[in-house]
Amino acid sequence: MDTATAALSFHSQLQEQAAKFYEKLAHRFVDNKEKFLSFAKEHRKHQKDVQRAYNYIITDAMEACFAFEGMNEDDYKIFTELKENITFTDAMKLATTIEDKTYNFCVDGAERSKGMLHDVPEALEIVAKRTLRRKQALQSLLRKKKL
Amino acid sequence: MTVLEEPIKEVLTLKNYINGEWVEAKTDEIRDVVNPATMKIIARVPRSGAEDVDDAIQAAHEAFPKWRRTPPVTRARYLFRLKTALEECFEELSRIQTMEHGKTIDESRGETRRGIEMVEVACGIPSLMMGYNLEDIARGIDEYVLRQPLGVFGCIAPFNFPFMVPLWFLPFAIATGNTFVLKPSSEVPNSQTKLHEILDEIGLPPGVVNMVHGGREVVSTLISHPDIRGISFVGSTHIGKNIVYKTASAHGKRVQAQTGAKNYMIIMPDCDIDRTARAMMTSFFGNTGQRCLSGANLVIVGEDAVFYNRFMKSIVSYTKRINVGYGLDERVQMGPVRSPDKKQRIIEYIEGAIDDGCKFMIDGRKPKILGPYPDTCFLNPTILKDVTNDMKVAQEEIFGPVMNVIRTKNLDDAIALVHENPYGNASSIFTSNGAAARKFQYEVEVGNVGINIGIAAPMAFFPFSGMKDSFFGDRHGQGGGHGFEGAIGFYTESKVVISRWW
Repeated sequence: MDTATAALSFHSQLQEQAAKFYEKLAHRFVDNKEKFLSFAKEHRKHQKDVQRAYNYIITDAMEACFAFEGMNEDDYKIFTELKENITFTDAMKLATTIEDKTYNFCVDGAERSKGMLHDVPEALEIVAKRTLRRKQALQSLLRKKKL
Repeated sequence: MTVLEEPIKEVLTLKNYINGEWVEAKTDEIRDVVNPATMKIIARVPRSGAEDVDDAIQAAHEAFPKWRRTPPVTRARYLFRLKTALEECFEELSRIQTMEHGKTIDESRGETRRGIEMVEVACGIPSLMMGYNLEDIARGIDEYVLRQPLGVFGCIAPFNFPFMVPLWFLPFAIATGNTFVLKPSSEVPNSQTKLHEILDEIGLPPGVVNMVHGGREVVSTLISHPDIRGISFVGSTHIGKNIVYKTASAHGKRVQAQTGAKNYMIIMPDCDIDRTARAMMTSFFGNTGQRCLSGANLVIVGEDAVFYNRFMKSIVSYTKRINVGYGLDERVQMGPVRSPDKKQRIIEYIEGAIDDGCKFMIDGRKPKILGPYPDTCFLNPTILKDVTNDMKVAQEEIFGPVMNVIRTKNLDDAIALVHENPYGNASSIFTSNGAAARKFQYEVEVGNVGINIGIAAPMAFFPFSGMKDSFFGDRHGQGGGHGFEGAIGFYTESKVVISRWW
């Protein structure tokens, strides 16, 4: 995943998978439907934000083909399948893993591409911060459920 | 990882765009346009003749009086529409460039973006084209300068940036009220055909922009036709200097000929090794070395063997990992060169260098390619060491993925190496020392200077400079304001008015 196009296509897939996951979650756990749908919307917004940053800054002078050298797709792959009888607690654990992987991709990608492309690492950093915020929200949902 | 879908599905014989119509060229000579990665034919392009060019120039000439009277703010609105339409076709345009030229999709998108930026800058024409004035140059007498368009301008475009280079000129030419005739490179005519479909859709009046496919006959007609007021050319120094500049200026035309290059990357021992090494990959091997801003000679400054070994180890390691293949495969970092004859020419330079005593650090002549593509146009990157500045490989433009490693004692010697070369297009320094950077930018005789930038490509709102054998003419391409440097100055004439009213 050395090139900007490869890394950002992967990012786009990651956000889309996560968005679909939260949509399924919203159907499964209707008490938190609105929350999960808002997470799905946020993932799709992030997908667009990063793509826009790339499309607006990409120029032949930037080191796009080498900007993400050394990043490995397997380190960030997510699994979004919801088992039929999954409990709320396990679903939240799965969601947290998805957010962790997304966060790691954004942080590593921003670090790797810094100095090569500018708006892209910045966009990834913003996404990473929001991913962290979502992770905290998931933990809070889990705590409420336990209470 | 995906290989992106190809946008060109059908092999068409391309038409000329003259006076707002798509017309067949009056010729039977048609050539194939081949995708250099797959070697499949993607279009057929006519070799138009003088009659086709005459038609285009006549259409542009007739459209000029009305177009120049169109208010600049209205002309700008056409460009705003063009900008919107280009954004909508961003991905299609980019993939077409990869298919016709071979560059990677990241590079093609970069090229599309740079082209769009020209249009964005030209949208500011109501401000950019303003003249200036002074009241009371003598009691009761005022003087002012108007900027006026001249007429029909021609453009002869190269193969290496099929979409972007014509846009260095076209938006500024028409924004200032001139009309335009373009000859795209016949090796890569598809993205310009798409651009002209878009120009047609935005509703420009017939004759304001025209496009004629072809070769020598089109060029010779454009540069000598009495109704052409100026020529923009990008290509080799031989053609630019000896044919375009000499002939067109002898015919009284304005000329801007942006020509060849041999760019030096000066590496100081205090540079950031990892970032510099990655920047070198793009500089030397981006666009498969086929750009006039590419790094060609890597000059390592100083006698610090530890630094040299660490730096070159990093360079070699990155270079060996470069994925070569079809640019629509998202893993690919370097595409093929444009044609088999270009590949052969590059190999001859490499072999000549070996005969002259250079040694391989990496031999890229037998390419390893990602995917099932013929190796006809592919090369892997080559790194040569023990290169000296007097060698042919260090002096002449190769236009391919070849890095010549030269060592020198200090920055003064490095700058002297740059000055020994006849070209003066671009050169960069990589350092963490501000004094060294300032000395370099102050002294080096090249038009585009990079400081920790491997491709010193000026943005749309600055002129694309060039000195010595890299530029012939007096006004550079692209760029806006400041004293009418660049495009606005090239495409307009100053008219001075001195007025007194009794």
